[in-house]
Amino acid sequence: MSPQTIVIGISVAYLTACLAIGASAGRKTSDSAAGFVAGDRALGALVMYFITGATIFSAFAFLGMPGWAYSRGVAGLYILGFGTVGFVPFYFLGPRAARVGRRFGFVTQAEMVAHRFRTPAVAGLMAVISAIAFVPYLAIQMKGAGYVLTEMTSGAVSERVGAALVYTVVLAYVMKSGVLGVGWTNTFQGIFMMVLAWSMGLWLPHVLYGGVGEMFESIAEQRPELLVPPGLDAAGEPWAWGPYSSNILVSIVGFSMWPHLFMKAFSAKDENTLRRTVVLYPTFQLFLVPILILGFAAVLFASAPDKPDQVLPHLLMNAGLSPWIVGLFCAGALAASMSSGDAILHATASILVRDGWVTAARRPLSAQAERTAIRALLVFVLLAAYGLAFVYSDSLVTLLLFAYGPITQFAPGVVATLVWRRASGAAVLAGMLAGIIVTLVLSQRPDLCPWGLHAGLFGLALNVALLVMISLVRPGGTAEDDDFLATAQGR
Amino acid sequence: MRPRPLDLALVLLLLIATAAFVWPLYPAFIDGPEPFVLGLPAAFAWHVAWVVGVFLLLCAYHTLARHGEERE
Repeated sequence: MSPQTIVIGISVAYLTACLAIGASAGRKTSDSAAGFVAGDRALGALVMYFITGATIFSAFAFLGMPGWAYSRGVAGLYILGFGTVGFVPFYFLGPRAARVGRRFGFVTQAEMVAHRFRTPAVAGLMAVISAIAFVPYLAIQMKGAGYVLTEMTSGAVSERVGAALVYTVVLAYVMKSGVLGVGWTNTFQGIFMMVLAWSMGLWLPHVLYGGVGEMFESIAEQRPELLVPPGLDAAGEPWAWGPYSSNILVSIVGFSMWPHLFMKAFSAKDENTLRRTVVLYPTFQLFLVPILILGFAAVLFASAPDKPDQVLPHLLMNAGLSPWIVGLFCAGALAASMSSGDAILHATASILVRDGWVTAARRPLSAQAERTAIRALLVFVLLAAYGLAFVYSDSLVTLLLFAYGPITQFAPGVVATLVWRRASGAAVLAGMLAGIIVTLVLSQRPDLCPWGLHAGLFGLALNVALLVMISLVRPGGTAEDDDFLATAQGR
Repeated sequence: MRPRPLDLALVLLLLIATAAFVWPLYPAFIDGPEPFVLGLPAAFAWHVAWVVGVFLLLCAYHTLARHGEERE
């Protein structure tokens, strides 16, 4: 058998396994939006752990992050920092959201905010921002999958064919099984990636350098600048502490706000399951450690990749490894792409229907019609992302960065929804809108940000200031709000 | 609703953990590749230690908070 045949064989076997698991997962759910989007609010601890953890394990984790370690050294560690602390607010927000979700029937965070403040426009704004963020995000996952297949089969499978193949499988199981398809495949993929990442992360440095310690000692001797905190910036100069720290802080605030993550508050079986998911979340960060080690393993490797993002496939293809190992790793990278891509795809379609159509445009649908509409949008979103991935490839990252900041601006409004009685709909909407505009303007004009701080930080400051001031001048706080907050607090 | 001492302790320790990932605590303790811990350079080991630390903190809080609720 040729090496390409082995790699393709393992990848196809892996995709078949995902399809089988994903398609058989949704048999027991009800035929409603709550069934399709939130799994009838019945997900247990194991699936919740992996479904939330998969958001960290994206194509970025397998391609971008080792690229950071390789080209920017310890700057790549920033992902450990924000992922560890960033999910903790969910320990308190998640159960509150779950309680109001159960009572009022929410399956997305935007409809929760819109309901509390009786302001459907908020849901519309959040749906548009989420869609703008998610389509390029999904396109990047697709490109990642296509890229890995092409590299590891030495060009036998083209990027477009690879991405189409992988995401046809994703579409099939998400369409068939909704969130349960996402959850059970993520569990399978998560376990697969963990085993693979740790065995490769320890074994490869051993083969190439004689061990992890020896590898880092050589790097410290020959490229010490890579190991000096906080690492290097994109231009290869030592990164300043202002931008480094503010990047992490904005990511921490925004982390729980990512709609595909927050929505899972409505999927968990009970509050204790949600809390335990948050408690266990930092353990997921530890599985990124071996992948960072693999990125460092390429620093002193004989040949260099064309781009830092290609470092891991490059290393594996040129280290003289058995095609069986290359094939397994290829499947692991596909797992990373798919386990984020499926959740994003599922969330985007659900949000556009629930928040955009039903809540903001006030067009209620029957349960059956809603499920059909979400399924139709799955296809549409996937095609849009595929088109974006292979037509507008240059502007993808720009588009994603453009949307990344605005998602963080959901945080003040979502927190106010669940804890602050006086907050009003006008205040939440004004704060969110102003925060989004400031973030977008400043991210285009970084020269206006003092000390090189992240644009999102200024957006957040204005967002919170407006939310508080307008709420103090013209407070909300009706009997309906009291009732909503009493439910959130479990009283 | 008055915040419980346990919640305040969690918030305080989490703020410290956050500061450990950014300026000022991170550069105050780590300024180069040395010392190596279990083969990992200082910055790497520091991060891993704090990830484990936050995990243990959350485990402790979760256990104590549930214990407190049961007593109430």
